[in-house]
Amino acid sequence: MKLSSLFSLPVFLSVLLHAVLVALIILKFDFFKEEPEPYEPHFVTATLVDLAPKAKPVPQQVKEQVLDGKNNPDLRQTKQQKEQEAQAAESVAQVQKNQEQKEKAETEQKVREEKLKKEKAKKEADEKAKADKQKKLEEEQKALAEAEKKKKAEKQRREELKALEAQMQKEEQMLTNRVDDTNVNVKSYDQLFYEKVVQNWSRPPSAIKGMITVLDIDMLPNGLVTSVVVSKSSGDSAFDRSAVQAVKKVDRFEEVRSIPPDIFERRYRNFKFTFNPGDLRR
Amino acid sequence: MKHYLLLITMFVASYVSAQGANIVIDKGVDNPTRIAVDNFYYVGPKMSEDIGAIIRNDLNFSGLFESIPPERLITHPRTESEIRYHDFKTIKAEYLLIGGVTEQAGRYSASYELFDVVQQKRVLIKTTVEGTDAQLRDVAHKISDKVFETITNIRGIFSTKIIYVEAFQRPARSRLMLSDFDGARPRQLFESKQPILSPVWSPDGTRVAYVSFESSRPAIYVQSLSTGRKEQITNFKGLNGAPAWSPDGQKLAMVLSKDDNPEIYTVDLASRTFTRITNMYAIDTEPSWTIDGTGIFFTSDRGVRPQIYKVTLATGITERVTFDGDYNARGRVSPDGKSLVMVNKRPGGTYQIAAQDLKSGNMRILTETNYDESPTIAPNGAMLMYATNVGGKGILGAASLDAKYKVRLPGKQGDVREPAWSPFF
Amino acid sequence: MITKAIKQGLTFAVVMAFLVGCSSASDKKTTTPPAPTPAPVVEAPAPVVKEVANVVYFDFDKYDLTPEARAILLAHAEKLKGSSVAVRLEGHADERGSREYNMALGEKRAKAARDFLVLQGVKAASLEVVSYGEERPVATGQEETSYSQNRRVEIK
Repeated sequence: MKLSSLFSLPVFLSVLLHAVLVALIILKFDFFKEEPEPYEPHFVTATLVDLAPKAKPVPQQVKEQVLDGKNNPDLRQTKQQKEQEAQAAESVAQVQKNQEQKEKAETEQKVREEKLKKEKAKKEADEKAKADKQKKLEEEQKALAEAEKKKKAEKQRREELKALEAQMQKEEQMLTNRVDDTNVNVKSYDQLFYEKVVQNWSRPPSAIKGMITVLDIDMLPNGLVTSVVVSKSSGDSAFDRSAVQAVKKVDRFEEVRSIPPDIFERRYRNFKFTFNPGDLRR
Repeated sequence: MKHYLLLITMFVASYVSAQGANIVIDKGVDNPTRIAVDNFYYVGPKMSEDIGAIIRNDLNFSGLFESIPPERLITHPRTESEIRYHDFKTIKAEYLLIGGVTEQAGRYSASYELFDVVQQKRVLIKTTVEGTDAQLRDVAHKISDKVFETITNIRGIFSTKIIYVEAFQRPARSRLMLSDFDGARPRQLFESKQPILSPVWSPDGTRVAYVSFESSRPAIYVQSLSTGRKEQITNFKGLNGAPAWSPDGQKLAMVLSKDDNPEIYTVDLASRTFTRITNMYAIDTEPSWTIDGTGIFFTSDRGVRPQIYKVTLATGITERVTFDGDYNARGRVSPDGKSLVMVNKRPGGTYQIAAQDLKSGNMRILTETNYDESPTIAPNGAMLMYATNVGGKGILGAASLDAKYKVRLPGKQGDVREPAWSPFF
Repeated sequence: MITKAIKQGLTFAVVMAFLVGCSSASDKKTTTPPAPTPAPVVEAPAPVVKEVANVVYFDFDKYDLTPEARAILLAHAEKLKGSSVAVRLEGHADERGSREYNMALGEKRAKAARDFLVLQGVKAASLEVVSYGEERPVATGQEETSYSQNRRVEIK
C-alpha cells in the first residue's frame, strides 16, 4: 500500500505527460495538414426581377398666390423661384430617371450574368455527368481488355506502382521543400543511402520480379543502424534476408554526417527501404 | 481512383510516421556471398581428403559464394564462445562455418556449425555427418549442400553426378564416363572404338541411354548403372539417335530415319511400341520433353535454317519456339519450365549457349567461348554445364543461368564432350 | 581401306587392259617417269591412270550436290551400273553446330548421293547409307579449310 501510494503520483504524471503528448500530436496533425477545401460549385437559382417602375416623386406644387400681379415683386420672385424649383425638380427627376435606368440596366445585366452562370453551371454539370458516364464506359471496356490481356495488366500494375512511388516521393519532396526553409534537395541524400545498399545487395536465386520487401530502419545521427525490421515481407524468406543483410552489411552510413540535423531528424532517424528489383532476369 | 485512395493513405501514414524517407532499392550488384570456411579441426591418422577445401571449392563453383580460406582468417574459433565477430567483419565475411572431424575405427564423424557474421548470431546448430574414408568427399558435399540451402533457399547440387563422352585419337576410341559434378572420381561405364553420342540420364538416376556405333551403325542403348547391364533399344536402318527420357521414365523420344527422313518417334520401354511424332520433309531431330511430359521440343530445318519447335502430343499441333538468330538447336527446358537452353548462333556470330525465356521470348547469351554445345541444366535450375573447345582440346564449362558467372572444369586426358547432369538422388 | 586398294587395283587393271587393246587411238598423258632415251626402241606410251575420287564435298549446312559432286558420282555410277557390288556411302559434317543435327545432315548428304546413283541406274539394294555426323573428321583444324574437307560423303 505504501508502494502503491509511492507510485500513484509518478503514474499520474506519466499519464498526464502521455496525454499532453498525444494532444500535441493531434494538434500538430491539425497544424500542418491543410484540409483542402472541397470545391462546391455555386449553383445560382436566378429569378427574374420584376422591375416595377418607381413612382416619380411628385414635383412640389408651388403655391400660387393669386394676387394683384401689378406691383408684386414677391410674386415675380416666386415665379423665378418657381421656375428654378421646376428646373431643380426636373433635374432631380432626370437624375432619378437616369438612376432608374442605370438600376434597370444593372439588374438586367445581373439577370443575364446569373442566367449565364446558371447555364454555365448546368453545362459543367452536364459535361461532368457525361464525362463520368464516358469514364465509366471506358473503365468497363478497360476492365474487359485487362481481363483478356493479363500480361499487359500485370505490366501496367508494376508501372503504376513505380509511378505511384515516384509520385509519392515527389509529394514527399514537395512537402519537404515547402516546410524546409533552406530549400535543400533531399534527393541527393536519399541517393547516398541508395548507392550504399545497392552495392551490398546480393539477390538469392529464388528472387523473382515483383517481389517487394519493406524494411523499417532506426538510425543514430552518427549513421549507425540500430534496428532493421521487416515491415512488409516479400513472401520469400531468402529474399527478405538478403535485404536485411544488404542494410546490415553497410552497418554505418557515414554520409549521415553531411546531413543537416533537422533534415536528419525528420527524414532519416526512422525511415524505410523498399526493396523492389527491376533488373532480375525472371 | 484506387490509386488516389492509396496515395492518401500513404500520405497520412507517412505523416504519422514522422515523414521519414522511403528509399526504393531497385537493383543489386549481386556480389558473391563471402563465407569464411576454416580448416576442419582434426587430430588423427591422415585423412585422404581435406573437407574444408572441398566445401570451399563447392561453394565457389556455384558462383553465389566466395569462400575465404583459413590463411586469411584472423582468429580460428572452434566453438561459438570463441567467436569474435569483429575479426570476421574486418575481413568482410558474411558467414562463418566452423567444423571438426573425429575418427573411430575407420569411420569419420564431421560436425559443423554455421554463423551469421553480419547479424552476429548462430544459423545452424551443430550437425554431424558420418562416412568412411572413401566417402569423405560425399561427407564434404553433404555439408556444402546444407550450407548452400540454408543461405539461398534452393537445393545444392554438390552431391550430383555427370556423365560425359571422352574421345581419343590414334587410335580412335571413345568412352562413356561418370563422375562427380566437379569431375572428381571418374569411372568408366562403357568403351568402344566407334563413336558414342548423346548420353542422357533416366529421371530416377538409375539408368543412362546413349547412341553407340558398335554395331557399325548408330543404335540406341540403355544401360543400368548398378548392374552395368546394357540393352539395345533400336536397330533400324538409317539414323537412330538423340534419345530423351520422358519425365515419368516410361518412354524414350528419339530421331529415326527409317521412313526415309529424320523424324521424331517415341518408344514405350515396356511394350516396345514405336509412335511417330513428326511427319515433314525436313530434318527433325534432338527431341526433349516438356516438364509435364505433354509436349516435345525438337530441332527442325523445315523453315530453311535449324530452329526449335514444340509439338503438343495430344493434338499434334506444332509451333515454332525460337526466332532469335539463324541457328537454334538442341533445346533443353529448365526444371522450373520457364527457360529453354539451347545452342544458338546469330548471323555472322559463333555457336554459343543461350537461354530463352519461354514466356517473353527474350533470349540471353550465356557463354562467351566459341563453338559451345551440348548444354545440360543442373537439377536445381541455377547452373548449366556445356562442352567447349579451348586450344583445340575439348573441355567442360559451367555457368550460372543468369550468365553472371562462369567456370571451367579441369581437363581430362582425352577430349571431353556431351555432358549430362544427373537428377537429384 | 583394304577393299579400296583392291578396287583401285582392279580399276587400274581394267583400264590397262582397255588401253592395251586400243593403244593406237590413245593419246593420254602418262604419270610414270619418262623412259631413258638412248635405246631407239619405240615403246607404246605408258597408259594414263585417271582415278575417280571416292569423296564428294558439300557446302556449309547444305546437302544438295554440287556439279563437281555430280561428275564424280556419274563416274562411279558408270562403274557400278551393272554390278551388285555392295557400296557404303558414309555421310559426314563439319564440327560446327550440334552433334545430332550434324548426324542428320551427314545422312542427308549420303542419301543425296545415293539417290543420284539410283537415278543413274545403280541398284538401290546395293547401296548402304550411314552417317557419322561430325564424329569422324579428316581434318581437325578450326578454320574453313578443315571444315570444307569434313563436309563429305565417302564412297566405299
